[in-house]
Amino acid sequence: MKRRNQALLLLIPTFAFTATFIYGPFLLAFYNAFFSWEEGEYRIFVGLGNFRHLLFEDYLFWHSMKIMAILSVTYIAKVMIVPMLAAVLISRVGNARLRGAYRNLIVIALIVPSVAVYMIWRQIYHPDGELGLANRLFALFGLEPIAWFRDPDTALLTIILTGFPWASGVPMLIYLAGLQNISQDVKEAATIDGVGPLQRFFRMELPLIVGQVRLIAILSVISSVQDFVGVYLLTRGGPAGTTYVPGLLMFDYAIKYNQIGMGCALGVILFLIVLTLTLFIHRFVRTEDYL
Amino acid sequence: MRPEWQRLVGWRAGPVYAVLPESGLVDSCAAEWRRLRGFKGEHMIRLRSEKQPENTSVRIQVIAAIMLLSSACGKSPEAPGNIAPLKTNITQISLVHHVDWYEEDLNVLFGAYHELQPTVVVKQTIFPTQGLEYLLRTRLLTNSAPEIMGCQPPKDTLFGSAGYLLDFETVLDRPNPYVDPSKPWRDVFPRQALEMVRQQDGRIFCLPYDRADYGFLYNASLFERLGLDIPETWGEWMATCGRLRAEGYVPIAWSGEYSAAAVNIARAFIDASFRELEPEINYKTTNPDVRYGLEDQFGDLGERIDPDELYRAYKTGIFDPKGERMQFVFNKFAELSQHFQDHWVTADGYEQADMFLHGKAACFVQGTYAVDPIRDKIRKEFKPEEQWEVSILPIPHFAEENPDFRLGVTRTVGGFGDGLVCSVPSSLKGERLDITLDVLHYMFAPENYRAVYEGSPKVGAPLYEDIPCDPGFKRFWDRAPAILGLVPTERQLQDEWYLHFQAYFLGRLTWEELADRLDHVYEEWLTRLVRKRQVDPRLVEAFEGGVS
Repeated sequence: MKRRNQALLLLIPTFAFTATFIYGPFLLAFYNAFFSWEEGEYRIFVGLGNFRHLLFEDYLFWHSMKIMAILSVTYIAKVMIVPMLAAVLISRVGNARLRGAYRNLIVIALIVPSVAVYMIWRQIYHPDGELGLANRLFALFGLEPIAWFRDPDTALLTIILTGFPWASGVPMLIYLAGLQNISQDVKEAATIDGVGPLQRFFRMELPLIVGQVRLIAILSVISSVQDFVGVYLLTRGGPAGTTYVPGLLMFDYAIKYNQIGMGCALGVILFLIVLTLTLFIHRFVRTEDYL
Repeated sequence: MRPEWQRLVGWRAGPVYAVLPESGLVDSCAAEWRRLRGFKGEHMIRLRSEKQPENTSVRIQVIAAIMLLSSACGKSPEAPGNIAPLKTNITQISLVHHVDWYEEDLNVLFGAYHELQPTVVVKQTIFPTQGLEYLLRTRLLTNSAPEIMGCQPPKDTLFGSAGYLLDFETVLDRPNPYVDPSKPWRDVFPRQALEMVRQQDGRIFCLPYDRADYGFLYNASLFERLGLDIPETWGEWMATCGRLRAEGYVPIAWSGEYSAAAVNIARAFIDASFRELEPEINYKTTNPDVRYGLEDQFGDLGERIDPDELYRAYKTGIFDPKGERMQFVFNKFAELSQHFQDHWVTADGYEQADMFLHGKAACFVQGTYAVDPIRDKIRKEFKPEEQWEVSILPIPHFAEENPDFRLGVTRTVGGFGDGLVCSVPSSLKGERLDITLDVLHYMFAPENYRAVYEGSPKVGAPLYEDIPCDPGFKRFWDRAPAILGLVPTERQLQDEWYLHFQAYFLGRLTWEELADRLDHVYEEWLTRLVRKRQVDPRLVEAFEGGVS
């Protein structure tokens, strides 16, 4: 057998699994979005009925979209900016061992399960002045305790603040890899030309890691639109729906209310949103080869 | 047939079951089976209270011995003469359910059953609730379900209408080969159990096994120490709460985060407000030809209104979600909520339980099934001198003090909790079907039912009226109002309803805004019921055609 055929043969299991477990359910979800399919009942074709219900009749759909927009913008900002700053600072540490230590400190945090992290933050923001760390700190400065997640006026802000200082491990590593990949010659040339730290970042480093920036942007858009784990664990969409996101609505439709068709339709809508935003990022964030 | 088996079957046919059909559970032979029941019941309780090691085989032997003894006590005159044996091969009957607190006692029961029926083994499997739901969905559809399954009616019994569940009504007239072939199985099942779950069309898909109720659990020792009487009227409730607050306690710890308990209490308030209109809303009740059933999806035991009644009440304006009665409910709840802890609207269930257990709160809202676990926790974790007693208060009947909102009949907040269904795979026929029915009738025998039920934390009102319960509970059952069912039962709409409820109490909505949203929820609910053809099409046509 030719070497090329051998390679194709070996790839078959991978493609078969991918097709079965990734593309299969995806296509099935597309198909089911056009059916009314509830527990114990047969599927009934409803055409665009599910989409019409979501877009024009579901009180929570647009409400959750607004919440998602706010959370997405802040999430993308957090994931784009803070890890980048951390990566730049670490990359500029002269001592290689110290640089490695800083990097490891941030990476080690990755091994903590996200559920545990959310539970810790839930406790930090406990409304009780004695139980919640945040309110205890407030008390030290003579400030009144805040209800945090329990107050509809502060719940969304509290979710945004969760995870402070937001130095996410994976984006930071991707940025750091990009920064460390910049040719030493370019760095030396910049130093000889007397470029200051800010100029160095904006004029040299940022343009050279724009590929990483685009990658992080796409990943963060996808996760911010689809994510509901944090909201589910911290507030379950409450109080009074002030933190309800479309991902949670999709989960509720499909799992809690057993309206599979409606859940699939919402999944399709979210997919289209992610696709549009991804194409937008591809179109406007271009990689330019400076070298 | 082996003689010992014949003797045992003879006993089973006699004192316990033969008296059931026409007279409920107590009839001419009641004294006999009461004596037997009391003996066994006491024994079960003693085993439990002494915290003996969980030696199931010993317990099986004890129960089997009791039954053997009972059989020797004398046969009923109704005991049959010709008794067919069970097959000689070992038959396994599977029971899958989700109520783990029954597991231990059911194992004992099935062990005793195996002693009586050596050729039958009942295998019990506990599934998490969600898992059970998926099991029902998948195994029923693939014709591979276990013989007996736990279910949560009315939702799960929808499978019955789709043809996946055994209609007991069609098999109960089969001759009962193990007791008396000249009599049907129907004669050995408690009539009450069958009647309470019979559907309008006469079918019976589910046998009731327990009930779920909600109320205010309270620190009875604290009440006693402060010299507080049990409040019953609204005024007494407010006075008691005021006194508790003055003594430094949170009168009521409340979890406003969505929970079945919160919804049920809110529903009880709404029901109380609309109770006066029950004859108008629940118009079918007066019609002897109409039966209520599980397929109504509104509820069970014939106490709630059905889709036709809700539709008519809404369309004619008898039930107006924007009206004064509904506003009255929210005003009264606001009044009561002054005695809740801070941030109650968003507090979760753990918080309210913690406040209660740590003595900060005097009462909290929970299902009656929580009483026993709390009593156990106090017994195990608190020092003897720090232990206190927990009991349950009646729901306040605020409407009694307002002549416009007088209550009618008083029943309970809650009802039928879990039940048992049988699948209809092709294998469940003939002798296997008879054995399955035999297992079920053994479980539903008052004697055995009581032994299992009283051993569970749900020591509330039993399904069968003759089984006594804790006096505290009795007071609760006697006082609590029944459910009319005026909060959407469809989960999604119930969530939305509760979302608006929360928003109102968080000050995010005015009454007018809340009323509009509630009205929208009820309208959507009815639209769905009409779409699913759960409302009589003639009624819909009449109203859509402008005829009232």
